[in-house]
Amino acid sequence: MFKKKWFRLISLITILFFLASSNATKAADNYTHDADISRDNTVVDSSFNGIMYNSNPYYIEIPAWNGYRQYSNTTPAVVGNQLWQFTFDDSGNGHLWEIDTQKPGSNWIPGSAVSASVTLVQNFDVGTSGSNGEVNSAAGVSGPTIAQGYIAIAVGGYLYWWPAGHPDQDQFSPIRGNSGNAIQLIAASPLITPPLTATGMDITTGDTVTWQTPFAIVGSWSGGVISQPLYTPDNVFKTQWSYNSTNDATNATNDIVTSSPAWNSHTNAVGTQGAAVFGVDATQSGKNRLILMDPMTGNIKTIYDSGGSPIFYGPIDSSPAIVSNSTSASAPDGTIFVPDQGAGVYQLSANGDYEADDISAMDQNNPCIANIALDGQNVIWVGEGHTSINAAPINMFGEGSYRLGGFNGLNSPAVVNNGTTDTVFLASTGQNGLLVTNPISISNLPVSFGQAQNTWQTLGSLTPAYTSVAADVGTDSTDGTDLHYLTTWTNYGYDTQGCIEIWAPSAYGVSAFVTPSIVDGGTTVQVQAEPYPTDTTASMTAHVTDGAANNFDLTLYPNTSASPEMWCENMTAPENYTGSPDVYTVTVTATSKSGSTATATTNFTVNPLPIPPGGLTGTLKIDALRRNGELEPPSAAKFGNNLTATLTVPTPSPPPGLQNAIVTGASITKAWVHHPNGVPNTTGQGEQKYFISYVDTKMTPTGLTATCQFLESWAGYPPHIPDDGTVMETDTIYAPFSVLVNYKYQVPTAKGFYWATGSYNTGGDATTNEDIIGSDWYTYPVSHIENHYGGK
Amino acid sequence: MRKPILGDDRGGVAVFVLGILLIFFILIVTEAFSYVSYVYRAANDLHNGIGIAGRNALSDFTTVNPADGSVIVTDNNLLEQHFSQYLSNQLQKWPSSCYTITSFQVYSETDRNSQAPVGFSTIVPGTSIYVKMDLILAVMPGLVPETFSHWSIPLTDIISQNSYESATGEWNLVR
Repeated sequence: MFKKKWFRLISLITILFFLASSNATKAADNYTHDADISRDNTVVDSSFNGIMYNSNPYYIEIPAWNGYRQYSNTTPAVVGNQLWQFTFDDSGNGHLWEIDTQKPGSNWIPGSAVSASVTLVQNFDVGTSGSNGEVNSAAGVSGPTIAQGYIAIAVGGYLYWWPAGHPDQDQFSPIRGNSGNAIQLIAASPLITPPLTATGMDITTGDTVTWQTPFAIVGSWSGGVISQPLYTPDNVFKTQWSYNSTNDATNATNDIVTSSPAWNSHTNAVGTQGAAVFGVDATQSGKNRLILMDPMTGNIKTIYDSGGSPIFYGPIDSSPAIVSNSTSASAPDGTIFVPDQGAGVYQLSANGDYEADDISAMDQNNPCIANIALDGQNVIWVGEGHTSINAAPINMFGEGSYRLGGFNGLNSPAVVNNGTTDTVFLASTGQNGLLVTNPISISNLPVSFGQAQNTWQTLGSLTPAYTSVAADVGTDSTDGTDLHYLTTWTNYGYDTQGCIEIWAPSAYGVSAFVTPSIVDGGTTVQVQAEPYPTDTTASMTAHVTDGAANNFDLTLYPNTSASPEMWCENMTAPENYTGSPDVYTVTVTATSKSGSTATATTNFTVNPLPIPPGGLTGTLKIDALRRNGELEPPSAAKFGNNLTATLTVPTPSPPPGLQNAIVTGASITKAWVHHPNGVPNTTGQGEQKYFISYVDTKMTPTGLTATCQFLESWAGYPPHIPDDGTVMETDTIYAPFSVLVNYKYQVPTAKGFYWATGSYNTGGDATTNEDIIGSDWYTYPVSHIENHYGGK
Repeated sequence: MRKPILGDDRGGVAVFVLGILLIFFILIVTEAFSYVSYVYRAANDLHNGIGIAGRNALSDFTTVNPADGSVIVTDNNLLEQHFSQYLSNQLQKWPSSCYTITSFQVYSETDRNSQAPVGFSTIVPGTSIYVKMDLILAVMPGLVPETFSHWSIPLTDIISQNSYESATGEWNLVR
């Protein structure tokens, strides 16, 4: 018990410190995206399998309104194809916007603004409340709740509501708190209950009447909580119930309610079945407590201690979460899990009896106001001043949990559960990006959560999110298909305007480039590939081919300094002896961490090797000589033959325009044969018998002929069976050459002429095709039995 | 003193008893020889399997250098893996407990003329594989006085790969 009192002391000091320093620290996190009154932050969606997201979000700018830019502390609420966003501005006004979602169209470019149908639904008077009179310090942090055919929102000390689709029929009711308490701020989203029985008096007859209506329940910083029937018949004076923090604690004027109430249909502790459950931040009284409230009667049960000792180490600022879809006998449906301000998490029965707590991630010195997530089997929460993500199985809650730390500014987790796995989405208010786990097993979450840490996908963002993320939301407004969007709000988005950010699913893909795209042989080119979404790629390779003998396989590596993510590798462009541009096709194959593959194709062009101008046509003849001196048939060769290449160039012409010009001599100055070459595989690895590449063999010129010898070492072995002269492949062999031409010509003079001499360089490229028809080398295996058993 | 005489009236063994002993002895010898025949056939099958597997594996993982005809093993590990696969294909009807490879050594052209491993008598001819294998036979309980239920019979085989140049009739020029 000493320990608990110690923590209480620390938390009290902390609270006083934060009260003195800033009001903004009490901006409780309102996560209302699916109007789920269990507040469990989990979307169950069996179709959520293997979805990856575009790294860059689309954004919808909420423009400056009446000259004032817009702020929000609330994640968009999502109902069907609509996003509902509450914003406020420095003019003292709050606004509710409706945005219709749709499938990404051709104008949806990740990272860009999208035009969406944005409708201003309602304006509210927020009042000024910041220490300097500005509204955006803490006011207006409520989000709308849309359920049971009603929209309810609490703004500036009032609860507003109207039937969905009829914003003109809006009504409001003040949230009265403790007398003398001037604070009229809201930091909670209303609960809309299922239809319950309301009571009132018919003013025409004086009779007591009852009727069925949903109730809205929400509290404020005034310490008051209102229970409001959303429908009241005409001529009926309704009986109104409320709760004040002074009702169940002394000296509680400044105890506040920022906890969005959750609906627990399994409670019977307050009379009838069902209760609204919310926490109290006992700023003044120190009596941090959870309240079960019957909306119909105002009956409450205060949950404060267990066996005489306080249950909660810190103030209860966030919403409780109610277990549903439970598979655990020790935590059946209706079990309450609630975090305190320091990220201690408590398990209570549906009727509020203390059962267990987990304080492994608790740090009362670093408030961590965030909601928790329940997936039916696990509790998932952020702790330690928004720096760690934690998980514990609900059937052993309090006996152990897994913690993954080192983050910054993590907000409430959003969980998408597809029946067998969870994907956890976490926005960070402290840094850019959105963290996404790979799917992790729900049956063994704490362990697999640790295994997931190396496979986080970090999505990009405009600026750090200002609220939690809502995951797996939206349907298309035209055909109703699931859009699986992720969405959050950022105050300082594009052009410093507030924006709704939307991440849309993306197919895994890659785009590829080669720079430069046109090169001379021998220069370095870089193969570059950009995978998308980013942070999802495990490996990448590239196959480079000119469709002939030149083939290369590259492994690409991430360029850590590139943004967006880029993988690359250099290679040396091969020389091009073909005389015309040689196009290399580059096929990049990317493999994601989850095993998906994507390919992209690009190309680059290698310029032909420059040879002197002239375009001479030479003749290249190749004799294939067997070792016994026989010649193979013309234009045919076998593996192991010695090849003699003979280049013959006809005598070039003298330059045109000279009088009686005569070539006096011409000789090849340089020539080489560009041919395939095989090198036996002596690497000790693999089945490949030869490594084939093109090489140059220099020719020895003699006048206008040149010769050289090389070995047929690249094809034909093992030979075709039967070895009957079948052409196994045909290779094009090139011989570029240059020629020096000497000439003389007549220069006319008065007496006739004299001979002058000159010379020029020219050249050309000779080619021939060689058929490979087999091998002169064979191999024979011989087996030999050594010992006498069965010996021959 | 008289010398003791076989078959004398003081208790020599009767002739028919000797005859029974002789028949018994012949039975043992026959049994033993039938086992030898069985072992001979089993070992011969295994030798054949090793030979085929070795020749196939060598064809897959050797190449010839056209300059001198030397035979090059491209991958020792794959050679051994594929040898094992070929062998198990050859010996599909044999339970795998009947044989174990105890040694698999690969020699290259540069090992030519070096001493063969223990258990082999020849010198290494060049690129070749040396296989030692135990043939394990269950011995049926019978007349043979045998305390062990299994026999383990070592087998040794060499499979070598050589090259041949068809134009000149020359074999591997480096050997």
